[in-house]
Amino acid sequence: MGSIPHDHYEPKSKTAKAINSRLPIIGLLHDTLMIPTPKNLNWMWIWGIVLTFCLAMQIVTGVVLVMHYTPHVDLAFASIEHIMRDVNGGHMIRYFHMNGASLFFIAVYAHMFRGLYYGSYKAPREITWIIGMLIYLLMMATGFLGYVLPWGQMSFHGTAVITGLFGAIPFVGETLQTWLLGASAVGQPALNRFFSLHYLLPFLIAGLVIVHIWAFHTTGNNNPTGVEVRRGSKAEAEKDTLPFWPYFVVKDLFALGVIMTVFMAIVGFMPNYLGHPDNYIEANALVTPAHIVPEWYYLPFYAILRAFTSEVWVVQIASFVTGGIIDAKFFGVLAMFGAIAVMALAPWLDTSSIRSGRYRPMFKWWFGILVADFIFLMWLGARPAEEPYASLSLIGATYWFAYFLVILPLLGVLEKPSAPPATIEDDFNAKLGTVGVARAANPAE
Amino acid sequence: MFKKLTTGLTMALLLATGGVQAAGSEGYVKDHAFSFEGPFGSYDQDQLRRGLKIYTEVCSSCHGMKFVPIRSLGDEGGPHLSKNEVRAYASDFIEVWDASLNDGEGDYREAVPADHFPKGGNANAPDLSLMAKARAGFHGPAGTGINQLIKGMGGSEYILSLLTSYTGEEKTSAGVTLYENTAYPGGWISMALHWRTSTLSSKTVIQMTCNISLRTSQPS
Repeated sequence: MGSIPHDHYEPKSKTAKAINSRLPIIGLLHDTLMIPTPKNLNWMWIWGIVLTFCLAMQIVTGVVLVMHYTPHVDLAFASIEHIMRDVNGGHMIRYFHMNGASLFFIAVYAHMFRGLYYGSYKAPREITWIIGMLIYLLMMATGFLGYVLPWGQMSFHGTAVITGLFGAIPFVGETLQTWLLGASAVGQPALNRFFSLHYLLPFLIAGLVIVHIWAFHTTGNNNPTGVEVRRGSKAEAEKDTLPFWPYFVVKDLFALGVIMTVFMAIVGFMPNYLGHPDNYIEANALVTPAHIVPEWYYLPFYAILRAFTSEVWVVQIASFVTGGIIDAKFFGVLAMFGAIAVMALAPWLDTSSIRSGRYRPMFKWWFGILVADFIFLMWLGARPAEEPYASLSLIGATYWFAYFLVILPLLGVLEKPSAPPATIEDDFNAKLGTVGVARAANPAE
Repeated sequence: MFKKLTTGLTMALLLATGGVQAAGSEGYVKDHAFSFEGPFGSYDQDQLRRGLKIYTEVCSSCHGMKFVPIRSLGDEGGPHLSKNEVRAYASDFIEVWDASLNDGEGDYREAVPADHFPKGGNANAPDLSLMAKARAGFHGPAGTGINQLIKGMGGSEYILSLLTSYTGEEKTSAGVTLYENTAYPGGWISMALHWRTSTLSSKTVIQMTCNISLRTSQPS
């Protein structure tokens, strides 16, 4: 499958020719921006731009915050208050950064479930999907490292809990945890290195984002029908696509504007809604908060981690078979990372010949339950570790794994999909009529 | 359709499991309509000045506000004292330790607006700089956060509830006198009810604090 036929950049002026023959940067930017994009993309295709914006916003606000932050156990908390009270506009920059992380994760979850529903992970876009999963893992790491920096109660005790997960690994766990923390307990060495890594990882993410974009610019975008753009000739391809600039740039910027309106309302009027009050109490090793709760975006996987207690028979079998090497805690850690791993394996677990969920009558229902399951687990992750939440978490976690490991492979065999349209143009015309006519007939739309 | 379906399903699950939440030992915080709530709320300047008065005369004997610069008393939207009033407040009420004085041995001096409020004198009394943010008044229902969305985080309500929820019961535990308070997690707090026993009746507080500078002569 070659790339979609389209016009390439031809330098016109003398200067442009001189530059482009030495470094084809103008051509590269031009071809990236003018990429033929399926013209039937719906509103779920806006999250990529939102994510790119989030990354840029987090880096810009983060760089400014670093100018005023002090990574020292005695000074970190005070330096945050210094940013809030003394630095010009500091409270706004910090609240942007704090809530920006939440917007980042809202966008990434929407983006991921979009991909899962419309089959964007399927051939030939497996590499795009895998790189996306790597970006997601790095985002989780970066978010966690950043949450440690204010050195509040949740920062401190959350660090103890999360690094404790690595401590659960048999044989090497304790050594690994000490190596991560730079000491036997959470303290100055941990704060210093977490600060360093929190600054480093976003740039790794930025690098992976470029590869992510490169990959899907090579295969072309997926679209709500899952039908590929026709590549027989340029004229044919142009019936299915529109150039990214200006059509999709304007659409995406409009969506970004709407999202930013909501975001600004949260930053301005309820900036601490998504945070935890305990993180406004300075870290104190001697006082443990009543409930240690991670940030909302980790909660589904935190619930899966806690679901596998020593009373669960799967855990007991695993423990018996391995002679106690896999205990309940390590099993939980494996389950948590496994929950993300099975998502990454979706391209090979999905056996259906149809790409988009739109034409898969049974898949739709199972997918709907998966989304509900995700929200359910998110809620369970914030509940105390007691009944009935433990049992409910187990049910939620079981469905999560069942969806990827059992339901996706079986559906491809059992399900009788409906027929997708022959071309993207057909889908587009069925919804909007031929270009221009629909707009004129429906001016209110 | 799927969005509606999943939302409906989630809500059904939330409602079904909401009832099983056990009533823990968390205190009861009542909602209060503060003037500064909501997107169009603003602080009541007189109320802030009365609060400053009470903090200075009662709370500050134990509680510090080490993250708050004194100059912020002059902020618009805050107590909004004049420059001279802020300066007078700093020098009249607050002494700070200055290590550079007395040939490097350090000494106390009168505070200036650039200084911060001091740390509290009682190590067990929490610092009040961030108290309204560091306490959540409302939880739930069932951990969904809907209460916080509607009523606000409730840190201010927590403080108000704490100050008005003493039952009058006392007990001594390991040599420490504890006071029963229905807003405090666990129900027993070591802070006595000072503000009602202070010499200020609420009426005189209001009269006296409409202008905080009354205890200072205007330096100008």
